[in-house]
Amino acid sequence: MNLTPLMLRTRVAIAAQTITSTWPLDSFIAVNPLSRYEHLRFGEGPGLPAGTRFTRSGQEYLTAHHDGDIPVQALRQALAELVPEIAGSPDITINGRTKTALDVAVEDLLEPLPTPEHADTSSHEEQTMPSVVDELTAGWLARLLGSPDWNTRQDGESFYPAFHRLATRDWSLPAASRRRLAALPPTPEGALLHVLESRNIDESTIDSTLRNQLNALPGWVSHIVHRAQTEEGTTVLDYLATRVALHHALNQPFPPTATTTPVKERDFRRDAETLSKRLFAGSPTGQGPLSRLLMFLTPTLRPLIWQKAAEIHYRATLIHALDAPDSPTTPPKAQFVFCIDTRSEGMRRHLEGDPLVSTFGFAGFFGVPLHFDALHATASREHYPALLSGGIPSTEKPTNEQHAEVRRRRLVASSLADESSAQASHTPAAAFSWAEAAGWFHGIAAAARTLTPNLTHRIDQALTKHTSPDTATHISLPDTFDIEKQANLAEAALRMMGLTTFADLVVLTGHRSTTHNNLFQSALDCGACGGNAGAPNARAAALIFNNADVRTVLAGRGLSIPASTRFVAAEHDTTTDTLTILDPHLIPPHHHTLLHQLAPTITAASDALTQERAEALPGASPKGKTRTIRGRAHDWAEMFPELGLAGNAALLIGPRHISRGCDLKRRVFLHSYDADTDTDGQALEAIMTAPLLVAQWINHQYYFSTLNPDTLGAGNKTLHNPIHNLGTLAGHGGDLRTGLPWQSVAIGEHLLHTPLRLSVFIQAPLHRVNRIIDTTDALRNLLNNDWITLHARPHADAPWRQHTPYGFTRTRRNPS
Amino acid sequence: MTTPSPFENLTLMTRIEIVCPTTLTETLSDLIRTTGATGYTNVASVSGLGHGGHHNGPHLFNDRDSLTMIITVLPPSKASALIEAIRTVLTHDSGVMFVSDTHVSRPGYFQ
Repeated sequence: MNLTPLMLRTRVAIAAQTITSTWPLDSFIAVNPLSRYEHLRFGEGPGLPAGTRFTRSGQEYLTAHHDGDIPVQALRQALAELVPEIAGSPDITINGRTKTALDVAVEDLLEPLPTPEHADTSSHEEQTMPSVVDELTAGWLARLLGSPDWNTRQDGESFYPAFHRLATRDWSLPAASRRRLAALPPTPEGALLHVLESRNIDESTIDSTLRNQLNALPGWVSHIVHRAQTEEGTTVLDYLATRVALHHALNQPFPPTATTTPVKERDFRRDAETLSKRLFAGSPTGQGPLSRLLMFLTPTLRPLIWQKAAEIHYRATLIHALDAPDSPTTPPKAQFVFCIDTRSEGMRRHLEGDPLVSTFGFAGFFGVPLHFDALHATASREHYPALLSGGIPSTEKPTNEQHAEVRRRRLVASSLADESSAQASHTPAAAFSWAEAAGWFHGIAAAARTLTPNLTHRIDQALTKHTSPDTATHISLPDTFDIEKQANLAEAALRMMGLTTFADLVVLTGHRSTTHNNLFQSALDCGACGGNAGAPNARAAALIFNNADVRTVLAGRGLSIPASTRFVAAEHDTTTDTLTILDPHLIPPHHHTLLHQLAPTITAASDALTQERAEALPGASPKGKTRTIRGRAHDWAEMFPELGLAGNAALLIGPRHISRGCDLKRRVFLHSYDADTDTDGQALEAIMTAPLLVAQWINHQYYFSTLNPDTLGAGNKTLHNPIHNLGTLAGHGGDLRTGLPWQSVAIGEHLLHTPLRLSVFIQAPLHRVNRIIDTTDALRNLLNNDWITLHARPHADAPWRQHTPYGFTRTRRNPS
Repeated sequence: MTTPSPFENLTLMTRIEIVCPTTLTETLSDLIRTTGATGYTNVASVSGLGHGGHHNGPHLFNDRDSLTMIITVLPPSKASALIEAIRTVLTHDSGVMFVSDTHVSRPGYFQ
């Protein structure tokens, strides 16, 4: 092999093309872990680790069928969609008995077959056991990429050179290995080329060789892909060079290519005979038509038919739930805008129990992407969706500088005390004396926090309030973000959600989650705000919407916000179901009065939602005290503080009046949209190219974390150890875990999340929807390759029509 | 009397233009730098019509799912290797490459 450094980089880039990046723990963003396969048909994954599952097992589908979750009618429709040849086949007559081909196919599906899960040629045990190279590589990655306290890279030093410099002095390696390492080139290209050539890897095997090395530690590689976007010196090339250098030093073989066992084909003749006996009273002959029919129902296709049937049935129940929306006759006194997050659906439904309240759904950053510096924070946070590449620099400023300074000093003192304590407890020399001196106090505090989490939390709150009382603040936007730009964002947001007539009070409600001792807390925060709490975005949006100059510009564009209307920021805590009004000092007296009048409605909605959620929350009882259920937020031993977006299955884009009053079970992303106020379709395009894609990311994160908890999910969180802020390990070493922990999608063997691909419903002119799909590659890929489905209708009285690669179906009936 | 060539006093270079998914930009930029090209230009969110259908331009809240045009100019002696590298990448991903001769007035900037 005679590869130049350039062609080596090319080969590395190709091998890494299928890897999706993983965000760190403090900004955990839900992504489709197989997003780089979306240009392929759902179910196809060349190069994926062996055993990756796209569907549930045959037995799980049969159980769902017996439980009533996948009725025969849904199976028939799934068959007709995926295997139209069967629907168009003539009836089958054997032994004087006649059945339709579709009926026979359904009967065949109801008999279990082995699920076509990919199995590796080598034993499972052998595949899951990490090799010594895996362990050593993971160790070096943790050491050089993890906590700055451990990081021994010199300024500006890339990963591989640092490894090469340090590993040659690693006395845990045999002397011969250290000598072999030292003899390798100090650059990643040089080392990789040297080892590949020494092992006679040629042009025909280099791609699979590199891919195998990437698949050995896919979690770490996903992290490196993310990190490489913002940091120089940590690249996939460095990773590969480190791995092959260790293979070379230890004289270890490269990992074998994980070839998958071909799915075992059916014995069509035998299965036709069995089916003939069962359905046609045992005729030994004339099974030709049956065999031909069964050839369509391959072991690979059968679970995909079942999966589609499960989704068809869900869509039918959703359509049914939307049958009779409420239509309040009085104009609202207050309008609440919530994030499209499925958890908002419950709160919105309960709030709208009050006919004077109406709600809207919009991406939780309210169209205002922020690069945000919170008051007294040590670092900026990126409060914007991962689809965007930057945010508006913004800061939180105190209304009273003196109060803020007092609070800052106290926070610094408290922080210093905590830091000193932490340092003492982690320093080998001081740890024992620290334990002698302070251990008793921390022991008592730990016991109190364990036994009485609610009481301890209240004491904590009271102490904090006393020692460092809150100070009033406001959001400050830069001068460069001028009125014109602010008006542009405000107009886009209003048109996207169809908010064109205004109540006196408009509450922009961001969301956050309160949990303790939870490494995946940011997975429960607002994804549209970059895995952060949504309050800063809501506050910034309220600031913009209340700006008189912005309103003047908006009025000139046909969007008149009455002077009596006030936008107020609020935050919905999805663990405690509380809704807190923010920046009360910025609210005029009249609107304070309105909020006061609304308080009973908000409290009643919060309580009702807590009771409702308790039905599904493991270990909670709907009959339990509301305070006890909410106390899970402060319990550091609680594995299920809330269920996040478990159960998510659909996205509805349309005016709220088509879903108001309908119980959608907190499974639906709700984006408000009014086609009549979006004459040029730009608002719909913005929705379909951003919130829709984010909803799909979230949906597939849950989907694949449920089906592949050990490879695309983070597994059991009771075993998790954090590596600084990078991610978690299961135990003390090995690969970095990606995806959601098992406790986010299941309890024991019982699934909390039913894996269903996202069903999108849009109420808008069909030609408008079609035009947007036709010009957006990402949407075309998702729809034409069956990663999501989309139904649309022009108005509430029209039937939903399904989008297909050939346009919308002409069927007049709703999906069922 | 012959008309002077418009390329007189200009230096021949190779111009490479690539239209690719924005997610591929970093990979291709890395290859361009590795080749020794002294620079490149990214034109974000380009739109048009290709063999796969229409491709729209910028999205309001999505910088990621769009097409980017990358333009680089380098001496012909360095171009062949880069062309081959990009061609290899594009056999595994979507995107098109255009290669043409171009002339520059300040060759030192591109060597």
